[in-house]
Amino acid sequence: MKAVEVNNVSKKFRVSGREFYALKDVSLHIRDGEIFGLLGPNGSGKTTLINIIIGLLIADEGNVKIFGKDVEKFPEITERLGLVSTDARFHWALSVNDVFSFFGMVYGLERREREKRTAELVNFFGLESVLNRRVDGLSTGEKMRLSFAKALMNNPKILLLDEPTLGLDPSISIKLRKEIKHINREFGTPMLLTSHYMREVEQLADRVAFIYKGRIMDTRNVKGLDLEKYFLKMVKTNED
Amino acid sequence: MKINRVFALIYYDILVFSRAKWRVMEMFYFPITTVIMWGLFSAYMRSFAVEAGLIVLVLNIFWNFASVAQSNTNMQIMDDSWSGSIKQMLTSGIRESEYIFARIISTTVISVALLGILLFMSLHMFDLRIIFQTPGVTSVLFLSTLIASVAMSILIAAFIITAGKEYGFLSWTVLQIFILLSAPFYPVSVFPEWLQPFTTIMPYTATFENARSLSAGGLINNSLLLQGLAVSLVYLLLSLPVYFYSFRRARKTGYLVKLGS
Repeated sequence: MKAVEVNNVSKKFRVSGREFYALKDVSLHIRDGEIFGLLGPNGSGKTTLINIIIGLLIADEGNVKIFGKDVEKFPEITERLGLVSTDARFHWALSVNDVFSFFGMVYGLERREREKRTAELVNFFGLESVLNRRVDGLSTGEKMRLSFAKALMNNPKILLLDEPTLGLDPSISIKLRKEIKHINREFGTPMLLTSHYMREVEQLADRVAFIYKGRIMDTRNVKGLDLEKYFLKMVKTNED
Repeated sequence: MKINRVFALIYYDILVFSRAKWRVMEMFYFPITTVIMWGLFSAYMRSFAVEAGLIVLVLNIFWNFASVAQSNTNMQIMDDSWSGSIKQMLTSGIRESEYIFARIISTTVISVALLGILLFMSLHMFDLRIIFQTPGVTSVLFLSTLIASVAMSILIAAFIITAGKEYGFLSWTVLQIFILLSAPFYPVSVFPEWLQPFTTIMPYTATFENARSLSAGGLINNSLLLQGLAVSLVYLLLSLPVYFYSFRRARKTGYLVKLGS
């Protein structure tokens, strides 16, 4: 079964009176159990696509299905998704522990279950020393680790990873990549990964799509592909 | 609507309210100092224009109650927007109905607590007994005010979601014009004739008129009492579809994403 299906999705925005396509006739699918990489330069439409998949945006044309269910018709299906993004922010006045308590309640976890899950995630992401620290006192890396931990709080069936290791220490990035792979192998969790680090996509993704000016230009298996060469070739081809 | 998510949001509001001190100041400090000021004015007026002093004090209590019952919900939404947490909430399965419903409950608790403080203070510091003599009528007047403010907060939230967060200033400014046109300290007849029909459909006009009459020791107009409640309920019923429409529109235009970024 396809975990995510994006069918002929188009999205236009109006900026300063001019309309432009952020996404144009985008189709892709993520198979159950695979990590799907999405590569593209800044402003190519990667985050717009993720926002449509998670239901923050409605496509002008086309549709998105999660496990066969249309996101627009069945918005509750998005509860099975977990999102990790670079711009993940939490209220500055809350402590790390408050964030876990709040989202645990949102996901309907009982108190004991919530505490158990919090302890597991805090331990894994090395957040023990900042558990009672306010969000405004965390470093960029700590905030990103918190975002990742929060996304895993509900054991999501699909993970959307929007530049998940951006701004992290190399050691944490390595650990996170291992965990991404581990979650994928252990639980078969399908993932959509956008990243600027080609090596990261190479290491993690099974397939990769190249997106440019809102259009999917190509989709390939990552195995045996020299991603850097491929990326540069795609940019050059499309700029020409 | 899932009850665990509504409880989670109320819990979140309690956490933020207790940790972010400016919120406490915003919701309690200004109303309390304002009512003390006008309470002192009413004490001064007692010797030569007792009704005028009482009208100003009582209507100030209504005004502050109305303001907090509206602004707390909208300030919470703006706080979620400024802090970026609204995106985290909406991508965690929280629905727009749960989001606003929880905020209305939190705001009702805060504004009723404030009302209790203002009434207790006015009774003990300024001997304001008149509005306690008919508790049933007073309760209906405050209930109408609360419902109208909840409706206003939903409409303002809808506008901010549709128009963008740069309109967040409406959270603490827009009610002023509705209060002014609802004729708090003066009768509708003081407005120019062309404006008078418009003031009668304002959310608080009927309620304020009865509150003035009550403060001056006059009779309560029962049909006006019901009118005040009915107008508030109409505003509430109209506000809900507007809110849901604005959310859908914001998902289409991308303003919902911008609200959280």
